[in-house]
Amino acid sequence: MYYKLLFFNSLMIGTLIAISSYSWMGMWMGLEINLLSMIPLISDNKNMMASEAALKYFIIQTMASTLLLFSIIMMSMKFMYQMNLITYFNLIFNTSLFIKMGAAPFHFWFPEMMEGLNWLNAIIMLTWQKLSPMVLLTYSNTTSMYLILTIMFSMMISGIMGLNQTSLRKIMAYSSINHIGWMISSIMLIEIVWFYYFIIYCIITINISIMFMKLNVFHINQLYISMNYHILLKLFFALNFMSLGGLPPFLGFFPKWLTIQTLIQSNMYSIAFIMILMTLMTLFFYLRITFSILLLSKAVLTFYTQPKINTNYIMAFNFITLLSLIFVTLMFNFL
Amino acid sequence: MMKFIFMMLMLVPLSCIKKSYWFNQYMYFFITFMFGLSFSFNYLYMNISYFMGYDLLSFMMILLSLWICSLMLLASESIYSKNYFYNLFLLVMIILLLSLVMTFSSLNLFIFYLFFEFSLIPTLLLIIGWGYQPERLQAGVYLLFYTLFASLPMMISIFYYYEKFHSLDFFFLCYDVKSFLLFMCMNMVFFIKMPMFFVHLWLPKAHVEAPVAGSMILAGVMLKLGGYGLMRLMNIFLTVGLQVNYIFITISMVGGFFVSLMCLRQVDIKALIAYSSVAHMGLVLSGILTLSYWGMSGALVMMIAHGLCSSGLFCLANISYERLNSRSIYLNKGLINLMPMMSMWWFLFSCCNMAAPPSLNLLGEIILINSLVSWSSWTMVFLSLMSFFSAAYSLYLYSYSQHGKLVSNLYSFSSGFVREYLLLLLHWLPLNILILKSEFLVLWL
Repeated sequence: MYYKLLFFNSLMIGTLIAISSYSWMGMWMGLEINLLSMIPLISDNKNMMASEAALKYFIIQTMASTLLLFSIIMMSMKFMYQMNLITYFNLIFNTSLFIKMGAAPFHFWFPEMMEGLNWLNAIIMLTWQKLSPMVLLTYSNTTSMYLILTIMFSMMISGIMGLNQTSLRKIMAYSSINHIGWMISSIMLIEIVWFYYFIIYCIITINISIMFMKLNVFHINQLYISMNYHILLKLFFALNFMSLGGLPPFLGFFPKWLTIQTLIQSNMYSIAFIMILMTLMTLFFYLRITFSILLLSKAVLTFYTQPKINTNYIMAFNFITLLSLIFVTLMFNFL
Repeated sequence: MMKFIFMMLMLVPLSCIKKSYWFNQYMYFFITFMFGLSFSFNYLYMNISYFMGYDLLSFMMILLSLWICSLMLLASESIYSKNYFYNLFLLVMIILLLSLVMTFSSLNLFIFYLFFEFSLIPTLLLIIGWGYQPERLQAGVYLLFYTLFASLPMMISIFYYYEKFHSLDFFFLCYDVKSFLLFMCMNMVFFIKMPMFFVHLWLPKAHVEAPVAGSMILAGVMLKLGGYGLMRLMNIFLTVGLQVNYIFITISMVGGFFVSLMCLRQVDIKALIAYSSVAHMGLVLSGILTLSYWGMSGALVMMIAHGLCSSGLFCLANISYERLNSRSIYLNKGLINLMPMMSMWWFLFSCCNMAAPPSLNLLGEIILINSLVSWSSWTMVFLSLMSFFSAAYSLYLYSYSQHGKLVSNLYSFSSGFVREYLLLLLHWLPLNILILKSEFLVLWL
């Protein structure tokens, strides 16, 4: 399995090439490197679901890359400027990026694929793989009507589709779609807000997914038996979901606060309103995950041994994701 | 101000020590007395440090939260004696207290909003963690989403206000906003929190499912958050308030009457007390919305009085719940045979609830009736109905729980403990002594 180390490195390099190249072709190349190194990372010869996910990922991402390549080649043609067609190809360009990041009307592959991954790959999919499409979206001409449409779709679809899921990976995928909506809205206005949002979203998501990985749970009902740890650890884990949903005293509120404020500054009241109310629905299914924890009483099974986890560093991580709203304004000094 | 915040922050590690329950409780009282010494006399802000400070309104509210939180620990002794996560309970309690004190002492609307939301989460943990029935999940979700549904539009409107007027400090919150939409967005969360009739449905649910500490904090302080926010914000809605406030006053007055009628046919003691607090807070809400001096002062008096009185009634309900394991009014009967001394406390608190002299409720009700009748003489109809029916359901509560035959399924029974009498005394004493120095309560404007 040592080849995964190699492909993990080339995955990183692909993203870095994509976001730091100064030509569109270099950017496309970076995306392809990134895509082709994700596939061996997903694949697992003992698990058919993983291979299926790898195949789905390959097909969808290749299609998106093709669209991307098509649009950048067409946009570089001379007749495009004469015939004023560039806005249409810009739409195609944005669409391909939306497919790559899994934003809402183009999201169908994303929860299906997440279902086949283990938690480490899910972490990569939820965080790192979002990075390059989003950075490229900031380079693109953000035609706001199309972006607003995508934001609204992301909000509504993630809120409604997440409601009757029992698989934690799918819930995390829909939560990711919801956050993509928020992040696109911040890309539309101020990129540094997107940067804060992305970093904080990644921190919280990684924290939650690592906890799921340590507990080895994949469905909501498994949480009822695998949550027998130290009571504070349980509680902080539950509060992480409220942080992800953006409830005020936690870190997750900070990026939402910044995004809403920039939206209001740009006089976009109704979209801020819709985004906030739709996020309440995601908050509802986050809260449903935490019910098993908040109820405090626990089921103890006789022949079930808890996996050993190192609580110290998880508690330290929790300290960051929960309490750092007080300190987070210090970020303004460094970024 | 910082010294009180630090005192509370240092209670966080203390609450993790085993068997430190009573020491924590003692420290809560200590903070209360320390805080009581720095009395704020009028509308001028005192002890300003960082973003916190308090005038008389905030002072009374903070004192009420500190007092109710100390009494909550005194009331939920069973959590300690049954060893049901009491360290976690202490932790949640101190976080709740901290959030409430920060809410009431913040000088900035956004900071106020932040801690207002913050106080929801420990309350949710209290209800879901230490409640009784499985339905507490539903109650918790109701509580959270009713408030969040209205409070997130409030956040948008706070930012809008900031864009227009460039300051959110309460001191500078004096620009008249002439927009009904903004009025609704800003104030709906307070209407829900109060709760106004029509959006009160979360309250009886939450009360019925909450443990005694959750009920006490809900009735005692959380409802007052709504009134406090309205009193601070009415400043910027004077013009639009004059135009639309009659709608909400009417809803509250008529709703208060309906809710009083609903009280008369409750079979759950806690639900009865919860509905009665909807009626009383409707009175407070209408008093604030008259935008008059009398209304504002009366609202403060009534909120203090209602906080102490309904919290005491919830304690009484819990005292008989711990002995009979039921809150049904059909099973909680004839208690005068078993606990004659407790029967006196039932009587005293029922009297306070129906605003009998010399309770603070009486003063609050008189001032509020003054403000409302001078606002429109038509309110006399529903004011008299509400006053009459509040006496009716208080007597219903008292006579059904104390008189009559004992229920026959009692097996073992202990009469009241000294802790419980102390708990009730500490509710009742400020409620009836404060009226002697009540001029301070009406000086905050």
